[in-house]
Amino acid sequence: LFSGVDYFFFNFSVFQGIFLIVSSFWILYIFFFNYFLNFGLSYLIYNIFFSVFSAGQDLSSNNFKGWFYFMWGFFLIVTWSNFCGLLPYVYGVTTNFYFVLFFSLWGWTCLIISSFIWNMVGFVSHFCPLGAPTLLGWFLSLVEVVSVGIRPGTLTLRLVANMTTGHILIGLITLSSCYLFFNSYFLSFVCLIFLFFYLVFEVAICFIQGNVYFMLFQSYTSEHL
Amino acid sequence: QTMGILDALFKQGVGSYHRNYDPRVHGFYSPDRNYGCTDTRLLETKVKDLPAWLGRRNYNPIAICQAIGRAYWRYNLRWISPKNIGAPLLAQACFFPMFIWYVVKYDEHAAEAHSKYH
Repeated sequence: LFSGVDYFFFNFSVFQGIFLIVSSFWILYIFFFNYFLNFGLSYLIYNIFFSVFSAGQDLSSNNFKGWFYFMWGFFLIVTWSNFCGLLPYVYGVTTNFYFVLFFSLWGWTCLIISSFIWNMVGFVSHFCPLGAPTLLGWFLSLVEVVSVGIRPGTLTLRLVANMTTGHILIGLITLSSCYLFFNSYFLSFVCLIFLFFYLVFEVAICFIQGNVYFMLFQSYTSEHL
Repeated sequence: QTMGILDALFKQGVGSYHRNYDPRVHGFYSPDRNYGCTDTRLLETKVKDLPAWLGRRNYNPIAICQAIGRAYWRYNLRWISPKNIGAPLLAQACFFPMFIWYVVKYDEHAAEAHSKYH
């Protein structure tokens, strides 16, 4: 998770990764422009993404509706990067803690600064939950401040840990299949079948993690008064 | 009176059908066709005629953008809009990042071998 801190690891630039992922977005944008179709794979994919699109719009705060379009871009980046990380020879940039932290920290900071400037009293009042006892109010406020301050970290860690775990498991299953090949062909084949289903599961995880990332950001805008 | 950007674009023909387009001759408008070009296609051009062919091209930035738009519609109408597109589109979307990252990370995996001796 934190291999970016290693001294000799820096053979990969974050900006190079961003450029490479964004340059492969052309295929995703082609999917979304076919809103006039009523059949086929494009319709299915369009419906899946449009359901996320409309759900995210419903979660937006009334005073901050334009933020949705930034978050939609984050969703595309995260989902496509997650999927590309499963392909051979492709480096999964969402397994890089600092790559995801760039987006989380940027988005969270924008939300905090905007809500603070828009309504300072309302922003600060969110840190004291309604109906809290007087004696516990100070403690609950501290807890709320910590929970809000730790949001970029949780967003990043959730995504990075899920993707890294998936990649590690794929590697372990493949490695076991290779070692079993010299002992028993049948067991090696069983491992490969298991790997196939796990890869299908991992593709769904890619989409789900992107969805979670996007929906959480959208729910954080609901605190923006 | 200074001309705005949009006025300049409209004067170049952006936003309207090509002046050579005639529905009685060409039928329904197809965004992947170049209605203003009567030259030979690139793959049908002889090698000796290639410099002259390149000299006849329109290198106006608007014409370049229009060519990119026609290429997009050619790809769309061939691979995305049809009823049953299936796997080729996904295969192309997977191959593109794989090729890029193979080239970018070539130094790291160039020394790998499946076995020590063949």
